[in-house]
Amino acid sequence: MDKYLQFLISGIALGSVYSLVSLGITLAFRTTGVLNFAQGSFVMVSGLTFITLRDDMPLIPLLLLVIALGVLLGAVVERIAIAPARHLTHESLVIITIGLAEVLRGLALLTFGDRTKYTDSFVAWRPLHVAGATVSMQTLFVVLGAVVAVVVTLLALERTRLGRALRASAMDSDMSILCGVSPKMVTFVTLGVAGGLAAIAGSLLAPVTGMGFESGLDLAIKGLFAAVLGGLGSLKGALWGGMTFGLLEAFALFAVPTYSVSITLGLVVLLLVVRPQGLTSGTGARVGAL
Amino acid sequence: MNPAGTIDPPEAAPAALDGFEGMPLRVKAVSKSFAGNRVLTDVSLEAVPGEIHLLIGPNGAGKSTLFNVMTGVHRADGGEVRLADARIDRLRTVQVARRGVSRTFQNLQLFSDLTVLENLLVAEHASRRRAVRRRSRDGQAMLRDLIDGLGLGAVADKRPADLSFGERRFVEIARALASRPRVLLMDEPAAGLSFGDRARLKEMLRQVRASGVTTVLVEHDMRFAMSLGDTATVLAAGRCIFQGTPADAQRSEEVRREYLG
Amino acid sequence: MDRLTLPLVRRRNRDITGLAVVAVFVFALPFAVADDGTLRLFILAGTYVVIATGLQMCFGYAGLLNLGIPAFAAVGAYTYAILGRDGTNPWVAVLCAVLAAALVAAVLGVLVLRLRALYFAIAAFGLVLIADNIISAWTDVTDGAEGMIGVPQLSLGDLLLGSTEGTYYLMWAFAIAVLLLSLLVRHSAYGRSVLAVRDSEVASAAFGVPVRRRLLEMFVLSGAVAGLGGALYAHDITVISPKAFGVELLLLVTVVVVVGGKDTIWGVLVGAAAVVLLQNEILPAVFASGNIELVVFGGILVVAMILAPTGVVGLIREAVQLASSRVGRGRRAEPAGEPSRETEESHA
Repeated sequence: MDKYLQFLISGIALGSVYSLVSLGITLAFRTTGVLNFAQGSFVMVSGLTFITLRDDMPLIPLLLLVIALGVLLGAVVERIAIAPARHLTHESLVIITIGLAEVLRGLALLTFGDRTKYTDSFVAWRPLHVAGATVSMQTLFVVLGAVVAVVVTLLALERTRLGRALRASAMDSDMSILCGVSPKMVTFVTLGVAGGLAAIAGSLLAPVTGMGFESGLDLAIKGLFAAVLGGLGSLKGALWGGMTFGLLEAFALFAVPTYSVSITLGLVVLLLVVRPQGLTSGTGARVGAL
Repeated sequence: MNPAGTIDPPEAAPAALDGFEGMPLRVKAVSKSFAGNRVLTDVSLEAVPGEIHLLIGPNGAGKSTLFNVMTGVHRADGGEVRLADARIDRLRTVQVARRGVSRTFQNLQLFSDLTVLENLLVAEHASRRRAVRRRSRDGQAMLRDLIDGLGLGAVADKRPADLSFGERRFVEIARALASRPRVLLMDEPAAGLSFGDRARLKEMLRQVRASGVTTVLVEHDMRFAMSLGDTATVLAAGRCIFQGTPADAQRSEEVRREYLG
Repeated sequence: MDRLTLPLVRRRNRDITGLAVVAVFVFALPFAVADDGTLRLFILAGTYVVIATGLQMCFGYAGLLNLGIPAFAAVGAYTYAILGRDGTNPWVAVLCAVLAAALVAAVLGVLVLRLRALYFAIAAFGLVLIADNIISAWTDVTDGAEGMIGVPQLSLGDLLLGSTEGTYYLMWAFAIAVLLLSLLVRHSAYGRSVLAVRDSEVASAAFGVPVRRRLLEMFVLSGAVAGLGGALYAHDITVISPKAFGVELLLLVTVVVVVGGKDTIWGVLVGAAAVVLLQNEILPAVFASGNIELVVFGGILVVAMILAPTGVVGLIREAVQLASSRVGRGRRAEPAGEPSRETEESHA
């Protein structure tokens, strides 16, 4: 019993992280049509920054700094790599974000070295014991942090003028242009938000798994799969997709640890074959029947 | 006097395109809805070889949707489409195309990275799979005739991006003919064409008709349509409101009200 | 009756002649250059040519961004190595490697090609991670993440092809063959139907082209060619590990295709030359640190995609066209592309 509870808990924890990553990807995709293959690298870079500065700063200011840097990273990336490429095909933009991911990976290698780095949990409290399962404090922070971040983001989208502009642009970009929403601004802000979300994910995750220059690829692919599983194009889907992916991965780790990656990704592909529109009704994945 | 009631300058009988033949296309009681919107309701028509069957109606009347149903792009909710006696409405687009139904698209769907000739060759290749009884000439000669007939000789080796709008339209039409269709569905081929190009298109369509091919022509330009059409089906809001000769269509009260009025 | 297709035939013959010239040059090179180091650079370039042609055919002709190419190279490499080490004739092992890669591509393609373009790209990308996982975990068969050593090499009768010169000729014989394949595909009715599918799925279906089957065929072809590249690489280095088939390989191969130009085999040749030179001559000379590759090639990919999406070959082509059209060819009555203003109203 406690084994299953443990795997459920890790599933939820993983799911929270993937929900954050997938939210960033889906948000960017919905508003700009760009599929950001570099989202995982954003997480990795932020996480490594967090770890590196951990000893120099108290926690809260550090978190704020990392988030601010994350937003800045997203905004800069948008200006230099996405904005000039707006007229290109989707495939070209994918290639560009892959190039970006590798640049970030390379910079991380140069700056932080090739070893995985670790840091302490946010607070040095003892783990909880619940019904035979162990929940570390950081795990709790991961879940809570993700929930807070998601709620704040969704509220901002609903309540603020900026948020409404983003949503309008996602629903009908031509119409929103007529209403005075600048598509360039939308892309700029969205990538910034994606960067911020990635920074939160990176900071939450860093104490749990550590971060290295290699971590980005793993997170990128899993985040993309999670977003697609949820039905790319719906924010609700991003969350469902992230959670489901996390649970799938926890299950795979539990059942066949050495092949967990293949099993998780493979299961997602099979799920998509059966239900191409993903879990929720997003923009859908199936090619028209020709 | 032609059916539209106007007089065309006397001309020799148009040379028929060699090796073409037509088949009757029967649409019976086809209905189609999209997400609760009724786009086609109980539409029937019969297009006969050697005739140009007009399909006219205001924007949104469902003409393009009907073409899509005929070519297997959409599946009808009710009714059937038959090519001669065989049902084709349940077939996929590729299968419908292989049976000899060709079409042009309202918003040109040319192969942008292929030259004009290559565009035609793709379509011509498809016709080789059918057991069409060829008469004298082979495929290349037919393509040559199409290219010359539509004035594309000078640009045969160019890509669509380098062509004028009229030339691109003609490539779309030539491509549809390159597959030696038994049924030719044309979706507003004259839109945006210059006066001279329109005349050339008319001439080509007359040749197609003389060859025996079954042609269904959607056209907004009434003068153009009336001067060519042998029969007309008028659609409005997804329903057939008139079927008969073009001249009668122009005189019909209902058509006037819905469309011309 | 061939006057009509003369331009097409001429283009094909021009390309074939060009490839023949390349073949002659490649054949003759070792006679002029005895230096092992230079030959090794060419061997590396040849490896990139083979693998990148797989991507070029898929992406350039069919528009499919097969980001899983390194995974298929891995399937080829490991199939070759495993069979070879167990005593199978190395040539048979190569054939099996190609077939294995093709089979994997076929199975995956059926699943993954049902998905829309971007979903397909994501799924293909995931293959890289999956391949790495399976290779690292299936230690009984693959010796795991540490890598497999003692991979046997090909030989022609008594002539062992493991020497630098031997591998050079082997690699380039296959590279030329693969380039020829790409060329013949492009200049054939089959290739035209593939490009048609890329340009307009709707129209190609409307003219009898089996869209999904074409995409699957090109996907399988690209996987098979990448598998061949992987097997040849295994023969060359005799040591293979999952690291060799990861994102770095994807990055390099993508740079080859994007920088060179995805539409033709010339793009692959130009791109491979550029990447090999940059990777092995220029970067080591300029930078002390060996870890600069990722940043440089990633940056090149971004910049190239923005500034020159058709690649170097594409730029050259555009320049040539611009030059020749300035030399006063026929002009049109109306600006290209705009519908005529003469409508029925003006001739009422």
